[in-house]
Amino acid sequence: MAALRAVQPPATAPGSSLFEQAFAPATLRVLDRVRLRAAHASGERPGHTRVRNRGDVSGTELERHVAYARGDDLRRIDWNVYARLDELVTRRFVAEREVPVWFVVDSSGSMGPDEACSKLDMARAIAAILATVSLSGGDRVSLAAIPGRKDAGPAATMSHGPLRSRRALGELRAFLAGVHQADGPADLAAGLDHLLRQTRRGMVLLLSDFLCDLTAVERALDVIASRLCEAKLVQVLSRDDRDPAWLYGHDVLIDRETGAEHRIDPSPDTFRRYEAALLEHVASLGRLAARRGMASAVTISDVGLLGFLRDELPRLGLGLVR
Amino acid sequence: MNLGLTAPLWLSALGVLVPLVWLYLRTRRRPPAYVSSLVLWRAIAEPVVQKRRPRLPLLFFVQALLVVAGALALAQPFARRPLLPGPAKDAVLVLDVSASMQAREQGATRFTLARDAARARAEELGRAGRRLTVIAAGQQPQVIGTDLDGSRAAAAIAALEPRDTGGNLTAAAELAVAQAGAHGSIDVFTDVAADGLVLSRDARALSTVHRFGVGGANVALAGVRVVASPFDPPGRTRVVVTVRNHSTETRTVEVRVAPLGAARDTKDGAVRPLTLGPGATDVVSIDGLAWTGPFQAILSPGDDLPLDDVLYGVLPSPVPLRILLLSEDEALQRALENLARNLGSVTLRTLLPIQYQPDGADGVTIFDRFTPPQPPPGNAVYLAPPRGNADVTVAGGLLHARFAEQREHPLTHGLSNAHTLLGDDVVTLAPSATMRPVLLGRADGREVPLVLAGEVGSRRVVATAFPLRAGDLRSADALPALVFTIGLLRWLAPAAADAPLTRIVGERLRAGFPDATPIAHLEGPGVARDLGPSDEITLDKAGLYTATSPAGPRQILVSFIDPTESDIARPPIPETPAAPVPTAEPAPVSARLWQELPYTREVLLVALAAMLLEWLVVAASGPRMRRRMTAAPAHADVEGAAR
Repeated sequence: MAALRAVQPPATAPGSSLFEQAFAPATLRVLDRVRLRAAHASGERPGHTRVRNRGDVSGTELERHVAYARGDDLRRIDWNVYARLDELVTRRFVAEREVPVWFVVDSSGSMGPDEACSKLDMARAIAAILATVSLSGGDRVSLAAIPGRKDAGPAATMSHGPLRSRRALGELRAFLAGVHQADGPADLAAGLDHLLRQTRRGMVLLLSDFLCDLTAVERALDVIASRLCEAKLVQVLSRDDRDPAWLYGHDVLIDRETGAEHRIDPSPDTFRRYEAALLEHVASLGRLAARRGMASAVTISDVGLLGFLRDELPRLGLGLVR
Repeated sequence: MNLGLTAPLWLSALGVLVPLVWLYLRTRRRPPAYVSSLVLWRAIAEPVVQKRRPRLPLLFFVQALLVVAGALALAQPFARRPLLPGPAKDAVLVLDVSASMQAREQGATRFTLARDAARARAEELGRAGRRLTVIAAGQQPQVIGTDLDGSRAAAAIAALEPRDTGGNLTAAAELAVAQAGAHGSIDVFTDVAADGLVLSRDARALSTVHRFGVGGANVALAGVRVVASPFDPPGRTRVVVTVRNHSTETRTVEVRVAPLGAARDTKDGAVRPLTLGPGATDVVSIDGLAWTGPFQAILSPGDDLPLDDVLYGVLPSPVPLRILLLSEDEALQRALENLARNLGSVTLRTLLPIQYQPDGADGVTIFDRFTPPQPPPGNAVYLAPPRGNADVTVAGGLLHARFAEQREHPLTHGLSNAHTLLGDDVVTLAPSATMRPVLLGRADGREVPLVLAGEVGSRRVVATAFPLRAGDLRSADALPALVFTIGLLRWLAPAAADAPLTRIVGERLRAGFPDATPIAHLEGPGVARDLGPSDEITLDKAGLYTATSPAGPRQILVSFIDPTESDIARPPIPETPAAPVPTAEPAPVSARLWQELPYTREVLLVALAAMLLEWLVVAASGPRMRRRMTAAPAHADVEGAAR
């Protein structure tokens, strides 16, 4: 993070797309000097991501010794130690593997409108910069967008990849640029089940506003957990979601996803209760993720990329190192 | 009280309320708002009733109050209350009723001319619709009538008569300003030129002076004094008359002193011819009058002001003087007894102080270094009194004093070398409102009274800080002590109980004679009324009055002596345009009967308060939202919830 603070990111031009900003040369120069660090996700193919606590891998860098247990590979017994201490211990090595990383963007109707600095724009930009870092770290990157249910259900899920190396940045950019706001609500569980059907021990970064019934979110998290994947939830909210003051004078609300109407009393008391409900919703999402060992973060779309990288990424457990 | 609006058309500004209501209701019907999800909105509340009565916010009512207050302020509201009975603040006529207005002028008097002019002016103003106030400018200004129409004001003026007192036109003009208000007018009818009037700026701005009287040759009796001693026989009484020529020519006159009741051209009495140059004053001394009692001094021939050609006085009847001396000093007793024998018609009775009983039979009581338990009913002398005196305040004990000053007083007539009266030590007397110093000395660097004299109640009282020394009264060389003692007894000698009183015009007469007998009824020139015990009356006409008391009737002789009023010479009247009749339309009847109290300022204050309230409401609602969006990091609490 010190590196991020030391290098000034490009200034955000008013009204410019966050997604376009993610591919600015200055941003790429910043991202070129950072790496993605996974907690336990790893693939089978060699890569540049250092993976710990995997007893089944060999390597060159000794991580630690552990007491021998029945069933351990006899080739990993350290006989020198046995000669000196008369104890059987096995050697564990630090593995360097590629990590299969899924960047899943919720492109349902609630992420709109499809314009600069919207929730969808912020989600695409975050996916772009983290995917760039993953590609630079030699990880295997897959991209996906889960549109609204009206767009023919899980079959309409868009995905691309896997991508390897930074030479695939053009593909990454082209795919994310093609992700637009859909009309209906997204079924995250079904979409993720479709995307992760052949993925094990990977990392999933799910970017959504999660403004839906938390049971649906819970089902989606169960799908991720069932694939032994490490999940990071990024809740992207808009200023309008956060502060309902703009609704003064409006007593009819329309759900952008479903088109349903709801009449309210646009009074300060109503807005206070909405804010309390939103905070409780965010807190509940955090508790859901924590119960499954997943990290979560929340950001407002207008804080910009720098604000997200500086303040939110560490909370996701996505250590950016030199 | 009823309410009204000066400019009611401004109430049409209330029409602004219509678009204001429309704007607020329109605001309530904004188009639906698109939100990301209704999940949270549905979680916080049930949907509101579809047909809900529109509820306007507090800000609307504040702004409506602002509009209403502003429209009311523009309409200039007022309340009309009935006017309390009081003077009409309109035209005021001031008529000078002082003595100089009695001067003869063109076959009439100045007062007659002024009164006729004032009546004509009153009718003229009355025809113009003005309401009139009439003020008589005598010694004290007097409001004769207020809120009068022309005819009633003319009648009130016609009923006025001149008085034999001076006139205070300055006070009358100030009273007229108060009656006329800022937009009234004042007409002053007098014989004094406008330049000679002392008027305030406001009074001069409103006043029009109508002057009457030109020239005026007058010779006046300016004073009369009776020089009598209780120790002298009647034929030795002198009457001293002062005569002053106020004209610009040498005048030869006769002064006749005759018993009261004699005809003006009587041959009785004494006559003294007199020639006076312009502005000269001379004194005529008449003696050898073989009669006593009231008299009149008459000046002849007549002139332009007859009022000051007659004065009244009294030649006292010889009354035996009874003196009571209370002293333990036998030498003083013998000396005073010897003096009394030499004076004649004086009876001296001596007692020791312990034998004193208050007795009204004695005309004068002398207390030698003794203070009675209660003052005597008659006149008294206190010689070096000790403390505790009811008539005189004795401030301290003996101290050494030296003579310093002798003041003009009947006690000191003919007295010289007064320092020889003092002995070694004197008592410290304190002057009061009634007891004034006649002789003054100095002791210990401060002024001390040596003799106090005055009237306490209806009694004459004298107090000396020193005792009379018997040796001084016996020695022919100690002349000051003899002169002082005789002067003392002369001044204290009471007049006859039924002797007429002499007064000057303009004096206030209390309902009591000097001997405290109350006056029950008074009759005289222009007056005939009963008096209560605390009543006072101003003697504003010269002449003979009869006061009736339980003891019987008694005469009061009121003389006119006022050199200012006697000086009736006036310069020619310059040509001045006729006073215009105020052309302003008379105030409507409603404005005269009603008083309009404007409330525009109060309504403007309400509007200002409404504006402040609007700002407070806006500051309490709108800015709170703006503060949330800009000041605090908006996602901080959301992040906190996520953690």
